[in-house]
Amino acid sequence: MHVYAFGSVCRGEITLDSDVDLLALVEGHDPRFSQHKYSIYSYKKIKKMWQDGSPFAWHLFLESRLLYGSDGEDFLQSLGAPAKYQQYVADCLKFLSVFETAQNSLKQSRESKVFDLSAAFLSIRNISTCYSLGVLGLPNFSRHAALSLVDGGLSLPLTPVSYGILERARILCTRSIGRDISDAETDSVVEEFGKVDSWMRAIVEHARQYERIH
Amino acid sequence: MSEFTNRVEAQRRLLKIVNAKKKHGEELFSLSDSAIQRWSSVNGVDPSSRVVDLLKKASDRVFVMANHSDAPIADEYLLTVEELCHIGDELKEVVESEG
Repeated sequence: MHVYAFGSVCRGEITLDSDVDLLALVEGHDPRFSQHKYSIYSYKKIKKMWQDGSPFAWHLFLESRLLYGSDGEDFLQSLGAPAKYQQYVADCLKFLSVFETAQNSLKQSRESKVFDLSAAFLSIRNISTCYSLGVLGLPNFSRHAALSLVDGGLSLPLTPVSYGILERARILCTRSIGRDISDAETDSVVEEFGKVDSWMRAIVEHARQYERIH
Repeated sequence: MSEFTNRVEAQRRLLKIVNAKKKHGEELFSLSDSAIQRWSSVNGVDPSSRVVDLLKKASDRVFVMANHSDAPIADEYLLTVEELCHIGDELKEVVESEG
């Protein structure tokens, strides 16, 4: 069994609303670990993710710290670097799809509005992370990865107020901390979604161009 | 659909069932433990009620799906999707019967 901390705490990105991400590596079902507190993976699955060069494997390789290892070894570091990340176009398309589904859901009703806004935030963050890892070669796993895409006309076209509302939705969904989001706030963010959709499509296009060349 | 989008869709469907009833002041934000606790507390819903029980079950199932992304056609995974559908149906009945 191995237990790791990963994410913001390992980057020194500490805020009042940040939590500590924990990873547990286990052989089989282990009732000591709650799925709500830990990301739980089998060794087999982690090795597969390493072979696939998945963004999560790279995230763990670059930003995790061993808390406990039953054999005293740092299992993840012993695996070496994950394989090259190659699924970036497919992953960017996946997060574009998640964003568009959230957008459509918000157009149809407001019955899952905070969740939809949170899904939008997550898809914006994740498409940026996949692009930074696959295309730029400068992986950024931060919650604010989208804000660091500034070259190539890829600055996120969202006002700081709208970005803050999306981030609030994400924290409400994951930690349930903060003020609820009003319909007026939702309307103001949704008005900007067309520009965000175009921005995500531009990222996909940049990724495709990069894939054709490399 | 990928495991990730499956999980997002499954959560959205269940949230819409609960939030379609406008009687609660604050919507259920997600199926995380803390979101279910906040929703129950803010809206005065009994934590031992059938609705909360079903939401917690659904929450467990959603996280189980997250841990089976490399085996999307395994029997266990299919059972989980099926279980979530059943929970959704039961949740709908309970929510509607509460008026």
